[in-house]
Amino acid sequence: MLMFLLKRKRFLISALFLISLFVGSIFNTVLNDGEIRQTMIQTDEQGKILDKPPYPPFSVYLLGSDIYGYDLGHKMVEGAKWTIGVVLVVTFFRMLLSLIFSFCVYSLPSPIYKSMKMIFEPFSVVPQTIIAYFILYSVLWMPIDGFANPFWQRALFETLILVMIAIPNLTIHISEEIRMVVKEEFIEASKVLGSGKTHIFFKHIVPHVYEKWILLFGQQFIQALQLLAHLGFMLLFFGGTYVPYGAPKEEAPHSVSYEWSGVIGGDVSYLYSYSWVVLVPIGFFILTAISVALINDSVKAYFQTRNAIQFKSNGFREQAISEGMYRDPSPFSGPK
Amino acid sequence: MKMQRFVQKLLALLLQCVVGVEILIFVTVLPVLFNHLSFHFSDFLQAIYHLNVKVATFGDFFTEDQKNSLFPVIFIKYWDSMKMLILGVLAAMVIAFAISYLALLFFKDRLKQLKNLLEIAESIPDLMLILLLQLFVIVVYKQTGIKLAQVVTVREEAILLPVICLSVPISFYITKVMIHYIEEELEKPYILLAKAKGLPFAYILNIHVLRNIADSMFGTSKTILWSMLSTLLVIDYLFNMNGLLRIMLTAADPFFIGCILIFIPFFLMFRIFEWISFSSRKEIQ
Repeated sequence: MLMFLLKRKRFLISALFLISLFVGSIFNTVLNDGEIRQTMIQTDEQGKILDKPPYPPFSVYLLGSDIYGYDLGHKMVEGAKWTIGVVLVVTFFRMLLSLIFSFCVYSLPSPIYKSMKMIFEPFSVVPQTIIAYFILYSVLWMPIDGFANPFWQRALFETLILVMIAIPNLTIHISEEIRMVVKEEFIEASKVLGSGKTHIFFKHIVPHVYEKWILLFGQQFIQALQLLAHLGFMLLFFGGTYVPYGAPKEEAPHSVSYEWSGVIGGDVSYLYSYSWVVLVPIGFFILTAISVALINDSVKAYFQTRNAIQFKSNGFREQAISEGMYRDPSPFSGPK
Repeated sequence: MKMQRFVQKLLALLLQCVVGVEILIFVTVLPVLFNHLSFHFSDFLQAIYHLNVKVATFGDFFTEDQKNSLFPVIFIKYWDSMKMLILGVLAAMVIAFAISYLALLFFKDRLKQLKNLLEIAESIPDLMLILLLQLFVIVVYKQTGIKLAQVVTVREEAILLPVICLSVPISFYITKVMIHYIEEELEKPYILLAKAKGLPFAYILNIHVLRNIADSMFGTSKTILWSMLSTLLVIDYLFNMNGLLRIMLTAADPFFIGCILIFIPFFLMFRIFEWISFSSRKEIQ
């Protein structure tokens, strides 16, 4: 599998981009203590002021600087571990928990299953962003006398909420797919031969649906990224929003870490005057999302070719197609 | 007999609505449970009880300042937001139709590349697309002096740009789904028959395929509306519009009422659609 993927240029480039960003970010914290290059005011020898921040791109730094003179590219790299790391963790636990729940839920008798679906219905109508914002606001928005809880508690709570909020939809989606497989005849045959629930699940169901799960992981990654971006845009940053009460107006609420969505949300008012301050984090967001989409696409292509080869070598591909067994692994499944 | 079944269905629907409202009450009260990151379970139960009583007796719901009643205000905002949403859905449908028709009529051999492109475009977070669109309008205005659209609601309401921003991110998804369904439909035998009869391709597409995919397209409406609502929230903030979703985030009461106003109509719509949809009719037969 790895060889196939490494041969595809789009996979290689996107994976390299994500990994180097992540590793670079961790190295920056470990070796450089999380410091970010800063140029306050540029002067010549006589002490005349030549330029002051924010510097546009390609002048002092490659990607320009923000209004305090911090190097934007460096800032993005430092923030990458938060954004990518958090989204990865959230996605992983979303998938894990909903797989476990689906395993418990898929074989329930139809009336109970239907009523469970009914209970989860509101979560598929009311958008995630609103629920997440509403629940997280009291914890992440700094009260007037400072935060009551340390950073790690707030971060953990936010991660937990971001995970839990997607579980209902995801569980229904996954268990629905499993129930489709359960209807097939070979499950019946296996039951007749005396296999238990666990055996059926791992030997017969998982091989049928695990490809979809892997693709679902990518989709959930993008969705979690989007959710984080929305929250950041509405000034609810990861790990808490520092609100400068009583401070001069220039100091807007800002993020505690250099997480990307926080940078966008904090500086969005500069979109028209110093547009690069916002455009650089937007660019990083878009590149990350596209990278994940490309990786997902490559993995899908791998599954498709592998299935085609398998069917061909077994000599019943035509028959499989005509019987509708040979399906596209995932046309566009998944809650968006 | 028929009457009885109908009443049964109606009662089930009512029950489902009540369950949905209970779940929303649960979500609304959830911040009480986690207040200051410790568990306040008795407070939580009490708050659930109070909210239930309030709903059952049609008590007063207040806006953010806890003085003014929510009620006439929120309906106006609701109507504004729904107007936006309907316009957005229509615009997205128009965009999706245009792209998929163009693709199928003229670029049939390039369909695979187009699908890949759509997949990538779809993955871009909607917020980023909206910010870029807004910036684009501003830059065009600065360079040429042509004001393409009103950017922010100050005195006159901005309509064009918000609708475009609402519809563009989701239209990629709709296009992808539509092309997929049309392709699936085109492989069926009756298309072959129609081709053999000598009907032009555009005619087959317009008359036969379109009718047959309409049902499946409605099936995806849940995903579409769901993600459009979260885009609408961003648009409310960015274009300075005082829509429903923005007021929902100010306090618990508006949140709860807003959730109900969103949930119940859409829920009823999806259910009614499920009853009249082709697949369920087929099952009954």
